[in-house]
Amino acid sequence: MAGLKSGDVLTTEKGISIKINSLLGEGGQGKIYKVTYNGQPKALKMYKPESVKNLEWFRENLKREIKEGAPSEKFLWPQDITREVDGTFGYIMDLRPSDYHEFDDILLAKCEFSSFTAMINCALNIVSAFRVLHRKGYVYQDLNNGNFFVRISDGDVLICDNDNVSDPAHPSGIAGKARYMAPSVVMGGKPSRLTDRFSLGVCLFMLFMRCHPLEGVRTLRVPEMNDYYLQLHYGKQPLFIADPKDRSNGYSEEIHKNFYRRWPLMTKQIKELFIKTFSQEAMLQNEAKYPLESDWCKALLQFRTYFLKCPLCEKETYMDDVNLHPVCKCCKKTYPVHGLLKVENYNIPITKDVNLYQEHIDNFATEEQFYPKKIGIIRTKSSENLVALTNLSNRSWGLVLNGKMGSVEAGGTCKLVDGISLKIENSTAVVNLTKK
Amino acid sequence: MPDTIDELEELKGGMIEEDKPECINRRITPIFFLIDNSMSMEGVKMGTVNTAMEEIMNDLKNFNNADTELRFAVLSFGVECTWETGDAALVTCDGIWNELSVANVGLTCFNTACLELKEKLSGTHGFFKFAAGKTITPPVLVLMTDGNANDGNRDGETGIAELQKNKYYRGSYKVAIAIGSEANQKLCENFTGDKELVYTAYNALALKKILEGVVKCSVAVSSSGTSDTQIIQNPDPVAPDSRNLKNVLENEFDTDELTEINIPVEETDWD
Repeated sequence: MAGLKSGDVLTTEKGISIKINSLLGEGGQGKIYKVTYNGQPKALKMYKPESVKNLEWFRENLKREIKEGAPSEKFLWPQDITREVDGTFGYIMDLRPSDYHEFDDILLAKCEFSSFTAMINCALNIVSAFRVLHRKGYVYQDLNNGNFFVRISDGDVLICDNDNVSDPAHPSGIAGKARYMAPSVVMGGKPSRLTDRFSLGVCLFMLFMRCHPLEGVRTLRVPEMNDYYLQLHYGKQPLFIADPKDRSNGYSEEIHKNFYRRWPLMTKQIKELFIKTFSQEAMLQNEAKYPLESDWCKALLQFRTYFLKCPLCEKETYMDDVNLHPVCKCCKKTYPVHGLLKVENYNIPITKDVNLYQEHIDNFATEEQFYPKKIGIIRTKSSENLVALTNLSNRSWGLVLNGKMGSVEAGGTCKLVDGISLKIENSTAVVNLTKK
Repeated sequence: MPDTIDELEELKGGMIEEDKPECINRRITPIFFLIDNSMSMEGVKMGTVNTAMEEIMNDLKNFNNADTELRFAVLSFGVECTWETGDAALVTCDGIWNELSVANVGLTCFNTACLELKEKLSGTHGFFKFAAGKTITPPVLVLMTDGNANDGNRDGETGIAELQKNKYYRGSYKVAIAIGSEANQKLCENFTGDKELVYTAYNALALKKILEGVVKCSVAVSSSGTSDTQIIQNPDPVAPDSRNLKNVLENEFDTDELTEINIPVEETDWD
């Protein structure tokens, strides 16, 4: 197919005309154009018929996707299909907003998140989106670093390339991208919800650690990474660089500088999830052992909760999960943490401006797309050694102290004392203050 | 207690700025251009190579992803063999192409060029000596010539026999562009080891189109940049499976446009 030119006009199956404005990019399967669709700027992906063997599969799949709608608004989902032009067709989707970067820009250190909180939000958004997608019975099949657009200010995510998304009984036939495919797929197996979870683990590891989980010293000793060695190190004999039992493909200070920076920051929970994802058992014997998206959500939320604003220098710092006399990573001073607010399985440090989120309370029970929603904030008055919690939600909270009951109205504030428990929706938050 | 909640803004800076991570460790995709600059290349042929390479280099500077990093070398061979990009290391694509000129003597020292190439296809003393942790994808070798070898066997057999002893050569993707009807097809075939990976450009327009297509496709296949990787059963430990490259090139050139423009012409018509 010859490329479309600026000014060309196409018509969609819904009878809407599309005007081609410019070529945005080109991939293996097709070309992406910026177009005007129904008066709105949109993106159009036109398939290269010579490169896509099963064009009819894509057409039928896109029709189904359009009919069923996006799993959540994090997906740049197909919206309309063009009528056939020169033996091919394309589909309409939303454009990437200008404040979103390609995930590769972060891996290439061209830009960085504004904070660790934003970076963890990014992980939560990705995991939550794939949880919703899998819950609907879909498989993504080709999950890799090229599928995400990321807003570095807050970690919001948009997921592109959704035309392979299908039910597992009718796969597109795509295998995936080298280094992101699960070992079983590398060895010729079919992509599935379980193999999506391996690819998800690779993306999360790269997001946090900025290196590949299987590229330790053994893998990187290969002089030429051809198909033979790709199959060996990513299919037949994959080995995690932080495998607790086998260090033969471990990290080295010279090569894995980013890993040295970031791995020590991970909570025990997060480390365990990575170890589980890239365990020999999950990768080579039983793919059901890959952690569920909900496991990631809970661990990531606790991880994010330990990143807070230092009450002294007001920069983002990280509180070690057992240390209640933490030293700020920025100003190097010990800052006050008055205790922990325990809600569900989460430990929330009681220090100035720490937020309580809706997801602390509902513990991802809703199975919907994650949106961070603050419902409370810790406030302090150090001159009087007072700590309190303000209710930012629009509902009243129950309160119990020494058998006496009370309430914290929406917008109200309650003083936090040791042993007080708060009934917030269906959860109970208990205050454990440190003894002075 | 404070009267107002004044600290609800998002966190910024702090720890994340203290110790910023480095660019992710990427594999290197090496591409070698072996360009005949004997006197017979003078005029439209070399002019076309230069203008096409200018545009290719300009495009390749944007080939910057988190999976692979492109680096290249240019070896010209006429009466002399010269590493135009320097003989110390592969260079990164900055978008600039330094114009190649032709030699004022008619000899084409292809066999000598093969020996030069063999020396540099090495991880101990050649172009593949990198810092620890760097690995390469299969090298891409692109040969462009319009004649015969004049330094020994005219089909380049002596030089290629030496190259065959080199593991990186055997592990590379090789494509040859025979420029004009008088180019030695046998030499090109000997170099690639596969007749189907020899493309003949009969005129300037076709040469430009073929060269652009060859570079784009071979870089994409070597770096596995496409998302529809086909699983290869029992791959060879050294030689890459060139079927994927052939398929991609076939699709790239399977257009009426190239067939229409690439019509054999008299050798004198190049000027």
